[in-house]
Amino acid sequence: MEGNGTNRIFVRFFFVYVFFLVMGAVGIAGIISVQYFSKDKITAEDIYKEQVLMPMRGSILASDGSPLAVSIPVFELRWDSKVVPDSVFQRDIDSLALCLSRIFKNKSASAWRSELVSARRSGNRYKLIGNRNVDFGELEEIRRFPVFRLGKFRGGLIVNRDNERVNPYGHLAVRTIGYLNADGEGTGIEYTYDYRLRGEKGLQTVHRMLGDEWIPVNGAPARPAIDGYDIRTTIDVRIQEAAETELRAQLAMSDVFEGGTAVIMDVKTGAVRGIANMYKRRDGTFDESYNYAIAHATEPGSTLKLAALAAMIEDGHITLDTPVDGGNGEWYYAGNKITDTHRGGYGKMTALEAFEKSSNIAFAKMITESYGDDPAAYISRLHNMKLVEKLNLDIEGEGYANIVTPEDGSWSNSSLASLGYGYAVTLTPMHILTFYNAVANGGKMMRPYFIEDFERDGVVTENFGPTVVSGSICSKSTLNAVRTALRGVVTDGTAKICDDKRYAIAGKTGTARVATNGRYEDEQGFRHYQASFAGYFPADDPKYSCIVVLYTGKTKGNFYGATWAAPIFKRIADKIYASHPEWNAPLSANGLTPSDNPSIAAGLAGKNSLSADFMPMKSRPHTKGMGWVRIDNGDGSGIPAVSQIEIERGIVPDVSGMGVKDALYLLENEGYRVTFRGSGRVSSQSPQAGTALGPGGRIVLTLK
Amino acid sequence: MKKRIIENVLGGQILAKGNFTKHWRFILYIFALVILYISIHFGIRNTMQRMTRNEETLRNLRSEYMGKYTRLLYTGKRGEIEKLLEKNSLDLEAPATPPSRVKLEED
Repeated sequence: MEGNGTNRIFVRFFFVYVFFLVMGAVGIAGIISVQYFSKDKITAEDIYKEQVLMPMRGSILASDGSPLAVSIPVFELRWDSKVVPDSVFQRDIDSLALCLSRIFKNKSASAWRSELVSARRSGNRYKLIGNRNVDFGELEEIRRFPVFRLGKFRGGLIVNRDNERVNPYGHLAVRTIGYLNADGEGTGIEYTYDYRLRGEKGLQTVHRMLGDEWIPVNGAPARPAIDGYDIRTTIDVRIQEAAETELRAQLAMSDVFEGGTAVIMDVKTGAVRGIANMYKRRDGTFDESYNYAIAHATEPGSTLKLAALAAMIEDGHITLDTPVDGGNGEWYYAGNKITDTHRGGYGKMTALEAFEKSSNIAFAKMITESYGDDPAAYISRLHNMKLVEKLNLDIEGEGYANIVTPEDGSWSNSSLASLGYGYAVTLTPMHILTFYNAVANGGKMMRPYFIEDFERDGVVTENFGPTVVSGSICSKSTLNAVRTALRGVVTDGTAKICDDKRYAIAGKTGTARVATNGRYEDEQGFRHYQASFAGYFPADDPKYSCIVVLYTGKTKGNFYGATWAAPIFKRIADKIYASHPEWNAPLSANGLTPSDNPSIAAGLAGKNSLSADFMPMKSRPHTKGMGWVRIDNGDGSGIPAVSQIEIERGIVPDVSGMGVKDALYLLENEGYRVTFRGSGRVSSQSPQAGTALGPGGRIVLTLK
Repeated sequence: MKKRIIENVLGGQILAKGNFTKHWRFILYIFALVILYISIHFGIRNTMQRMTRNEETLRNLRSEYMGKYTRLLYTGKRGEIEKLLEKNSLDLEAPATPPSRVKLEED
């Protein structure tokens, strides 16, 4: 019996043993067959490959660090309509169409439905879904949609990864930011500084794992990708937006305008805080397709009278009180007729009044009397004042400044007179602004610049900053005189529209006819105008300088700087004035200090935004790392007590005493819908704190 | 003879006699080493796979964050806020005077 049993066990064991042996042999035979006899040979390339690691393109940042252009990973969605089973398609197509219409918002659910049905009918296996790429958050949502949730092989959703350059502020400063196309052509910072932004590609060997995952081979040589530098510009988003909004609004007021520009510069440094360029497209709308500000060199007209005035005072030919006769509004010099806009002329006046009224005749007379014997001395003075200097801007496309000199073939007897009121010289708006900025900056001329620094992960690697072009363009006394004259234009002259009691603007209007084919007026009497205003504010301690130039198409009307450009300047200045707290000297509390127990303080601690963080207090409550807190009197001993606010899902938290920003943040993050009335801090809430309320519930706050 | 060898191998008797029994500790030791080697190798692979996945997740989260952040930046533009105010017929207006800083002396 016993022997029989052992034998049976042995036989069983033998069969198991043989089974494993055979399975092993089959496995080995399989390997040999795949390796040597199969047509689909697995080669080293199928298992190992060199993978190029793409660097992240650097961002272009505004002066405060907020992004003007960033690269973000996005996903292109395609759909293989053939893999979805019929039953699933019939059942879920309506709900899928509804979901897609909600996320893309470009067409109705029924339009989506018919699009998907027709894709399926035509057997489309790579149908593009949506009118744009989606980000990861949206992708996750889309993956949960009916049909798509079945995965790639039953739902048919194909996801292609890509990188997209996004300008978070839309079209804001789009010309300055620029672009770069696939051929490496482009404009603006994207193009000029591509070599800094693009970073360096990396390389690594990867090994294929089960599930088609690729992981780096341990120990194989690898070079990591180096991300591109971030570039911080000088652009102030608020100022830029003000410039664009106001320029666009003014251009929309007349069909005659072909374009315009507005540039705002920081007086002390020459940093360009805002630059708007509008160019009329064929459909009548405006976009930033041409950089007037830095590229468009034209005869500036009366804004150049500032340089003429400064030159004549500096060379001792005149003072602000020098009398000059404007006559009856018409004056002939070297056979050329010079006119003033004022009918009947300005008659006798001082040099200051001539500047305030912008009399062409007075300036032609003064300049010819001052430099008639030696016109080259005037040209040389303009060069000394660095007016026609090449600016060497840090973005490409700078237009050339040019001035007619007595040695040139185009110099005529009337050229000197023309130079006196802003003709016979071509300058870009940026050149003129740089000159006005120097006057505002106590005579120190700063080079306009757009790039503050290159940085990586917030650490500055290369800093540019301000550059001085000229320490002093003229003497202090001349400077004081021209600044008085510029202020006079606003208080008593052509730019009264800019006069404001709250802060003082100084500047000069300019109206120039633009020469087309060498003529300022064609046979039918059509002209092209350039209306401008350049100046700075506040006049006594200038912080910003600004130029606005508008260009018209063919017109028989008159387009003056005073009526068209100056209002834009004023509105931009108003917006800058209203949004900058550093404008006025801080108010003194006259020894008054708040009580030591700020009962109003409730909010998120440790982020330097709780009111207590800013208050001078003897015993500052310790709130670091505490989350949502409330600070109150405590036991009345004068020491503020800090208590943590309890947040529990599904229970309404106590937000009383919070500012509306904190209260909204907290409640909406808990999933509630919030409405509020009144102003101040939360005094009561409905439903009361501690009430059970599910996400989506409505809470009404009363502020007092 | 041949038959015996085959019997020995297939029957497993080969393990019970000769050098195998003498060196069974060493064989066990080698066997343990091999197991250890394989498990460490798989451990490393798993970690690397996790790293790759985490990097992917990190990239995706960055994508989600940037997507949301850029949308919020756009909504936060002064012009967009003014449009929203108008759309919701709220009578809030942009300030005409700048905010003032109040200077307090801490005692």
